[in-house]
Amino acid sequence: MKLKIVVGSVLIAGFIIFGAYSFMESNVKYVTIEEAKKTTRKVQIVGEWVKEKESYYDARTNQFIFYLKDDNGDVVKVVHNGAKPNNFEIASHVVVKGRYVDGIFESQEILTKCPSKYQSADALKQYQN
Amino acid sequence: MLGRFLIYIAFASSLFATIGYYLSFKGRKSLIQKARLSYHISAIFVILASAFLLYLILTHQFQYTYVWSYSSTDLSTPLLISTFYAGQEGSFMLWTFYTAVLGLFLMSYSRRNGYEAEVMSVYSLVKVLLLLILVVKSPFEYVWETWPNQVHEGFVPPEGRGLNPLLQNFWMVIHPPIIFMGFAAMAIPYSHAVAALLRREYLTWVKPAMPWTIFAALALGAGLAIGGFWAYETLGWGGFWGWDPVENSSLVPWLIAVGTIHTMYVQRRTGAFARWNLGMSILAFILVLYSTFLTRSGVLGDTSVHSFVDPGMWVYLLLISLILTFSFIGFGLLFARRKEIPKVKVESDLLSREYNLFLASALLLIVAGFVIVGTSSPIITKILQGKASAVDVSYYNKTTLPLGIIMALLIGLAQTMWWRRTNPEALMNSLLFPTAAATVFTSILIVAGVREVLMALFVLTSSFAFFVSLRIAYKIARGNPKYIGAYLTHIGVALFFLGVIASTKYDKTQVVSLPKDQAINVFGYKLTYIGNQKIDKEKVAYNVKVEKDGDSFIAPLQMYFSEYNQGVMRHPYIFSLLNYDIFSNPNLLAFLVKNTLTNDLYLSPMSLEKSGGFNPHTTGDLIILDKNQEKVVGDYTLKFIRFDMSSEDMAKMMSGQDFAIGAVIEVTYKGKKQQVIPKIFYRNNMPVPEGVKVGDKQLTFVNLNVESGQIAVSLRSNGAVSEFQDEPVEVLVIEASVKPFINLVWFGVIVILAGFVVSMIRRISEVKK
Repeated sequence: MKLKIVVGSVLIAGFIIFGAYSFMESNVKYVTIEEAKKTTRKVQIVGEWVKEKESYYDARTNQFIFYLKDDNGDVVKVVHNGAKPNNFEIASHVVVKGRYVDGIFESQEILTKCPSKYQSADALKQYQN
Repeated sequence: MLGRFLIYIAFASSLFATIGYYLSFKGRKSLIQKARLSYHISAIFVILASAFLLYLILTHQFQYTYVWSYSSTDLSTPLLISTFYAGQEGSFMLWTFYTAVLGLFLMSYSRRNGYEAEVMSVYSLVKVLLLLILVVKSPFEYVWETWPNQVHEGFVPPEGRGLNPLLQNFWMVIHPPIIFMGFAAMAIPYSHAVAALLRREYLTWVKPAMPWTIFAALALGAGLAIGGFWAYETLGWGGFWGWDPVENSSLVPWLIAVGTIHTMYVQRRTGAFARWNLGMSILAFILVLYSTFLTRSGVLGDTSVHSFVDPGMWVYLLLISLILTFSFIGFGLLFARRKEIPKVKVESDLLSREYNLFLASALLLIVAGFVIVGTSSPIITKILQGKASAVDVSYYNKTTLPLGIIMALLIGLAQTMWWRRTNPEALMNSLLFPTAAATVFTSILIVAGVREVLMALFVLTSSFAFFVSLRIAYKIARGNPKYIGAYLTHIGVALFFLGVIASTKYDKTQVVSLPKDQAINVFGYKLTYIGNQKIDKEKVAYNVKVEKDGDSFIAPLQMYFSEYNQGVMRHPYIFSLLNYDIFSNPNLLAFLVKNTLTNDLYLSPMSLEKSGGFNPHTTGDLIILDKNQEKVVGDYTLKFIRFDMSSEDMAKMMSGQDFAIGAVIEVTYKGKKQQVIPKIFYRNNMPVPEGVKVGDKQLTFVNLNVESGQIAVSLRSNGAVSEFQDEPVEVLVIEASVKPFINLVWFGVIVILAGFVVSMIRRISEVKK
């Protein structure tokens, strides 16, 4: 019976360590562009799309390219694997997840944060005049 | 006013029912009649309130904020009905509706089994708190109440905002009603556990609780399956599962409920694991509440693709107090009574069925633990790091893969075990065939290309589980098919695992550019983009002709700008056995059976391009022109005069539709002055410039800055373009993928659910005995 308890607790401890390790490993931290340049880990950056600079979709490689400016005012070229995300134009800010490699931020996922539509009655107002 | 009134009465009477039931349990037996009556009244008023909301939706009463927010006059009746639960208030209404109706069945069920007062006092409290949410966050709010300073009283909007196009789908019509049935049903095992603690009747309660637990798991499981199919078929996720918080939040209580079923089975037989079962039954419902909190309170707001609406402080606090209340009641009682719960000695032999069933239950709990920790990661990181961030999807895959391997192995082993103690020799004998078959099967797959160690192991244990379950199921089917439920479910789980491995690990994806009317070969199919057409006021279908072996079909891939979501929507088209175009095109079925039995062909639109047109890599150096300033470029003198945009284009731009903007440029070449207007067309928000010919060159308007009055153009020799292509050709870029054996996933899920149904029927008949 004692052996079983020992085996059981070792197993549980193992699962907890394994889970905690995977958690830390997969936790994608929010960083600034400056910090992203210093690490090879997968990170995420919040910023604004620099509309003045080029942005296009390259069909041959299926990549969407644009420039992102973070809160510190740093700008980085982002190469996103995939099409231009939904809501990209009206997003108040965008979040890119990926890695910084050789002067380019290689993004695997883009989240677009939109100004909330639910809290405004603007859409109602059109009928009121 | 009427709607609110109905909710208030339902709330008050269910509160009354709860108190009445509780006092009658405490000894005032005469109150039970009144409690019953109150419960009936409250259920009737919940049903009336739901019917009233449905009536408001069907008759387009847009003065109600909820109706205005999610529906419009152009929706078909099924979709209109589905707007009932498109938003938070309505989905709480639906949940409450199910809770009320299931309670009526539970009442007569528990009355027959002699524990009505206890179980109904707990269950009715769930309804009280759900109704409290509806009091605070009412679906019956008027628009002028929602926006008191902006909308005048009595105002009726002539049209609603409409339903999110992602939800305009058959699967979405049936998905929430099934999921919420599961959520509501999960309160029943909880109520049984608490009632058992109240009555100090720790051993016998699992018998009547078991059919309900299976029912809750069945409903939630069916909901998860349909949600997965919806993600695959409509959302264009490319798969059926994305480890999204919304999906996880139904998966976790499901895992716990399934785990509970395993140990309930042991308790019925031997009386062991009473405390474990009480705890798990309580936990399953607490996790339903916790998941609701995660997805409904706005705490995940910034870390997911899903848009989580912040429902306001009151709902946030209510949801937290809901979790605390039911945790306190459930776990508090369990803790207080822990000493008196009889401990039946568990058969601790490693080779006993009870021990292995316990391991299964514990394993499911661990999986659920990993998933809920991942889903809660924004909260955890917020506490630890001060800034919320979600874990990557890889976390879930990494943690669940080893557990899946162990689970499959356990499924195989546990089913061959006997109660109390298995004779090792007999065990070896019964494992011989499945082990051999699984080894052969895995070896074949390794030769065929399964090279990763963990994947090969997963194939091995899954196929082992499959052969074990199949063998036993075959024997039972010849004897007494009534008992086949569990084995059927485990066959389904094994098939599901194999389908998951094949379709997610060994799928092939390729991005393909399809120039119009030009056939391109992909994965053995000939694909030709043949043009596009509008299919309703928003949606555009890009038709791709798919040919193979003389058969040809049109796949309409949808891509359009959605007013509602303010973004580009992309819907895939899938050649699979579950394609519903088979009803309108009888030839399709034969084609699908021939080609997609083992491999789905999944086509998603990415973008529409123009070849020979704009490509920043080939446009050469950009020339920046300031307004009204001449610039000399070689033989050319360019002067940007003004922007050219029609009022119609202006309106289109404002509303986010396709539009065009031109730049009026004065060009002087060889003494000749002319004005040209090169344009940029925005298609699906993608700039597509079209150049104009000036002299021997091509002038292209590439970019603009309205505030500073600057434009960027390129000027390059015309020959370079015409060498390549005279006319720009439309190119549809798509992502084509083949998903091997994804049908195993669907088939596995159906078998699992069928097994649940059989088990439930068996357990119900046992209660009646």
